[in-house]
Amino acid sequence: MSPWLVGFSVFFGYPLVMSVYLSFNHYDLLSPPHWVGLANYRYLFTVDPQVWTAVKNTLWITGVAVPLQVLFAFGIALMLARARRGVGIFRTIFYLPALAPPVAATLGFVYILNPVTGPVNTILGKIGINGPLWFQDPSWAKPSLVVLGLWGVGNTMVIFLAAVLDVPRHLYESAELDGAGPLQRLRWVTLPSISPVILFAVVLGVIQGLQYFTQAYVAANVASGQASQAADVTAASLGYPLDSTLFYPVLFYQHGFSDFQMGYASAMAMLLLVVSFAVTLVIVVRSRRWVHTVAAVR
Amino acid sequence: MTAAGVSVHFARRRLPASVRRKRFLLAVANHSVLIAAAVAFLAPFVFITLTALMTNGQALSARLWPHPFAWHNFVDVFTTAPIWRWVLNTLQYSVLATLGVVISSVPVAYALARLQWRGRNAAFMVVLVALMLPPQVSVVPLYVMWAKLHLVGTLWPVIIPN
Repeated sequence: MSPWLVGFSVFFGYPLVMSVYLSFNHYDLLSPPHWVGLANYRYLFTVDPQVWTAVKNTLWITGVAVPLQVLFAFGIALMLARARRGVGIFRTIFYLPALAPPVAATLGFVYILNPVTGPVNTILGKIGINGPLWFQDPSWAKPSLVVLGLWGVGNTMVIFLAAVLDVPRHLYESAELDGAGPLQRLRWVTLPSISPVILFAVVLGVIQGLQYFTQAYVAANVASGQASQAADVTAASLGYPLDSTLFYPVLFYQHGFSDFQMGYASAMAMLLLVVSFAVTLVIVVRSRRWVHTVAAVR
Repeated sequence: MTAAGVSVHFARRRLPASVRRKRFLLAVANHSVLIAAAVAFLAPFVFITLTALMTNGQALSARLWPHPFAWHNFVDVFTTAPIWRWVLNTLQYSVLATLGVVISSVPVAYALARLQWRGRNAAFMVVLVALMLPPQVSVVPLYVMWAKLHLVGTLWPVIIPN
C-alpha cells in the first residue's frame, strides 16, 4: 500500500492542492502567481462568453454519446452471446478499433469522412446520396464524433459480453418454464443480472464524457487545416467548425495553454471536478434502486 | 459448455419443425446483423490501409483504389523518420509502466476490495476523484516538480505516475 500511497499523494494529491490554490490566483506561468480571490470564479460564471457554449457541447456529447455507446455495446454483446459460430472472429473485429490510439483513430476518421475526397462520401455519392459535410459542418461535427465513439466501443462491449455470458443458465431455464418470452427474459433475467456492469459503464462513460478532449481537439485541428490548407492551426481552430466542438475541456485547455491564464484554467478545472463528482454521486446513489448486487462477502 | 450442449440436445428432440425453423431464421438474422456491423467496423481499417498504399496526390483525391500501388510508402516510413528510436521509446515505456502498475496497484486493489479498515470508503472515493481530475490540471504543477528533480527530457515522468 505505502509505495502506492506515496505515488498517489505526489501525482494526484499535490497537483490537486496546487490547482485549488492556483484557482484563486492570477498565474501566467512566467511570473509568480498572485492572489486574486474569487475573481477567476466570478469571470467564469458571469463574464466568459464561451463557457455556456462549451458547457452545452459537453452536456450534448455526454448525454448523446454515452447512452448510445452503452446501448450499442450491449446490443453487440447480446448478439455475440447468441451467435452460433464465428464468435471469436466477431469479437476480435469489434474489439480491434479500441486498440487504435485516439489520436490516430480521429485522424483516420477525419480523413475518411472528408466531404469531398473521403471514401465514405465517395461511395455515398456513387449510390446517389449526397453525403453530409461531417467534420466541416457545425451541425454534423458532434454526430461525427459520436460515430467515432461508437466505433471504439470495444472495451465496453467485451465487459458486457463477459457479463451476459456469466448470467446463470438456470435462471433462463426457470424463467422459460414460467412462460417468459425472449423479451421478458431479457428484461427480468439479463438486465438485472448485469446491472452492476451497466452502472460501471455508465459512470465511467459519464466521467470520460465530461472530460471529452482528445478527439475533439484533434478533429478540430485537422478538419480546419483541411478546410483552409493554412499553417495557422492553433487557437483559431479550437472548436472548429463554429465552436461546435468547443467542449469544456477544450476551452479550458485554450485558456490555460494558449492564453496562459493558468489560474483561470484551474478554476475551470475545479468546476469540472465538482460537477463530475456530483453527477457520479447522483448516479451511484440512484443506482441502488436498479442495480442488483449479489450479497458480498462482508 | 457441456451443460449448454445437453440442453440444446434435449431441446432439439422435443421441438416441432416450425419452432426449429423459426430458431434457424433468428440465427440467420442475428448473424446477418453481426456481419453487417463487422463490415462497418472493418471499413475504416480497409480505407486507411488502401490510403497507405497511395501516392500523396492520390490520397488527396476521391479515388478509392490505389493506382499504382505505392509500396514504397512503407520503406519511406523507416528511412525518413527515426522510427526505430520511437519504437524503442514505446517499448521502454510500456514495459516499465506495466511492471510498475502491476507491482503498485495489486496491494491497493487488495486493500480496497478485501480488507476491512477504517476509511476504506473514503479512500475509494479519493481514487474516484483522482479519475475525475482532468489530466490537464496536473500538468503544470507536475512539470515544475519534474524540473526540480532534473528529470525533464527523460522518459521517467511518463512512466512513474502510472
